[in-house]
Amino acid sequence: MSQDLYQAVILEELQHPQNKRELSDAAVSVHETNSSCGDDVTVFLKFDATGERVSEVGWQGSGCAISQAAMSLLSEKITGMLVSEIGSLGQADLESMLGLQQPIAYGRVKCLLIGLQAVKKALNINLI
Amino acid sequence: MFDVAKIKADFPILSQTVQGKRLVYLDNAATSQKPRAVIEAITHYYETSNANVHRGVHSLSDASTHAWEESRAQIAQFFCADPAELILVRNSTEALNGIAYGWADHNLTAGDIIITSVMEHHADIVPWQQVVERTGAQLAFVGVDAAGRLQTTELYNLLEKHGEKVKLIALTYISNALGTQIPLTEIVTKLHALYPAATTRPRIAIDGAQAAPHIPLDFHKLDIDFFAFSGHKMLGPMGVGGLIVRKKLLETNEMQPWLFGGGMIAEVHTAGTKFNEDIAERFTPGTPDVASAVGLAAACRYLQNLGMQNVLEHDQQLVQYTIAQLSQIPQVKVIGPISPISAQVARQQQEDESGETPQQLPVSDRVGSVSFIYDGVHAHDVAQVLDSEGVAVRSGHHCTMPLHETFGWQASVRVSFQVYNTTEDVDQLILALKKVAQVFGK
Repeated sequence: MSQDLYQAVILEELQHPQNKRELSDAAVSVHETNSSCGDDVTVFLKFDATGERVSEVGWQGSGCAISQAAMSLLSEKITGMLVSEIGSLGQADLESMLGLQQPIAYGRVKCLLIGLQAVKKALNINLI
Repeated sequence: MFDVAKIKADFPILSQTVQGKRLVYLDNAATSQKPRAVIEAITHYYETSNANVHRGVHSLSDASTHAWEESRAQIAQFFCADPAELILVRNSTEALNGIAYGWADHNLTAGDIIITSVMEHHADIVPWQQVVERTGAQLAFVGVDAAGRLQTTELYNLLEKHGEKVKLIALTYISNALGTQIPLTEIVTKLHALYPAATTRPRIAIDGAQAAPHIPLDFHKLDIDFFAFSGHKMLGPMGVGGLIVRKKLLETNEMQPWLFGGGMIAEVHTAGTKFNEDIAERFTPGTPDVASAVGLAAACRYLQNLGMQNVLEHDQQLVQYTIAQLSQIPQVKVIGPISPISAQVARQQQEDESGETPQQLPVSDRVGSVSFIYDGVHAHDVAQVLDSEGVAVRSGHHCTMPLHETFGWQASVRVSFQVYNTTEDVDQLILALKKVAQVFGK
């Protein structure tokens, strides 16, 4: 599986993470950790005037390749998205963003989802 | 010594391939694989003897009761304990919780002290934190030194400072994260010197989950009060383990049952209940997992046939070989005790070079596993790449978050052994580790 897992897209995100910066004027920020492997991310969000659309995303964190690459891709994906649209994002969306051909191993699900969990917590969206 | 190829052939699961590669199973500290003898013993029980124990007068019930009692005796004998001292539970975690509910809750009050260490598995920390909440006792942690060895001086200082207020010392015999074996005999000797009267001496509980699979054990010689172990880490089935309790604690009711119901009683009336006089039955409420006990007994027989001293020596060869091989990879930092082992490896290499047969190496204080950190690549990613080469290892904090916090490690990779592992397995691991550098460019 890992030959498929560590594809160019993941390695590229690791090398050049997108939006990896703290937003000092963020409307909301949430820190999330994955106790099973020590991954951690902090997500910073800003909204447009309506308050219904995410206008800017920043994040900081450290951890495994899956958690960091997924957070990087997610930060780009949700920039400009409606909060209601973000609520419907799930594991399959992240797998597809990472270019995975099959569902991720059980042991890596938390790594994959940590960024999305932080975003949903920040948006007060019920976690899946 | 023993023939590893022959041993490996006893484990059906090991003949498979993973990711198209020969399976190299090096996650034995999490759970071991099971020999055919264990699998067949369980099947045989269900095919020939299944019935409830101690309840029926019919022949099958008698056969099942025999299987249960004989298995209990075999398991107790493996640990040189009296069958009456053995309480069969699900695993070490349940055994340690049993000490908390069955002993600590009845014997600790506010102001008492429990001592444990930062190196413990969460199963040897969380139950004591809960006891503290229920009783008002306090929990003190002994640290480890830079090499990952228990700071025994800290322990002795705590004992001298708090004296009779210390009621329980709970320690792992062998660390599941670092492989460190603590100097248990020295600690018990010191305990006797500090507390000459047995009545005031703190009780000592040993988490033996990682010791039971690898070293010869004699519960009475160890002179401890509680010993917890898991069957599934010592070639037995999942779902059965044990708590061995010093008989005196059972006879005096210092240790009490913590689960109640049928089987553990002598008489039940609407006005109240009298517990079973038979110590073992008093701690076995409900229908026990007879098949798993039968399987664990078969595992004990299997290990005894190999000889636990041979098992330990085999483990030591693998541990030392692995440390020597890992030390040659610049990105890898082995964590836990290595210094005396390096000296031993050097001596062996010397002997190899001189063409003489290497002599038997002395046993070190690192048993069962070798853990490491790969510079710049997270442990989970290392483990995932190793899996693609057929090598199964464990990554993460191994249920030892306080230890990882102490050293500032986010996660580590653990390679752990069993009787069927070979130096060729380690070679496949080392080869697979080279792929980590290729994938991540580090």
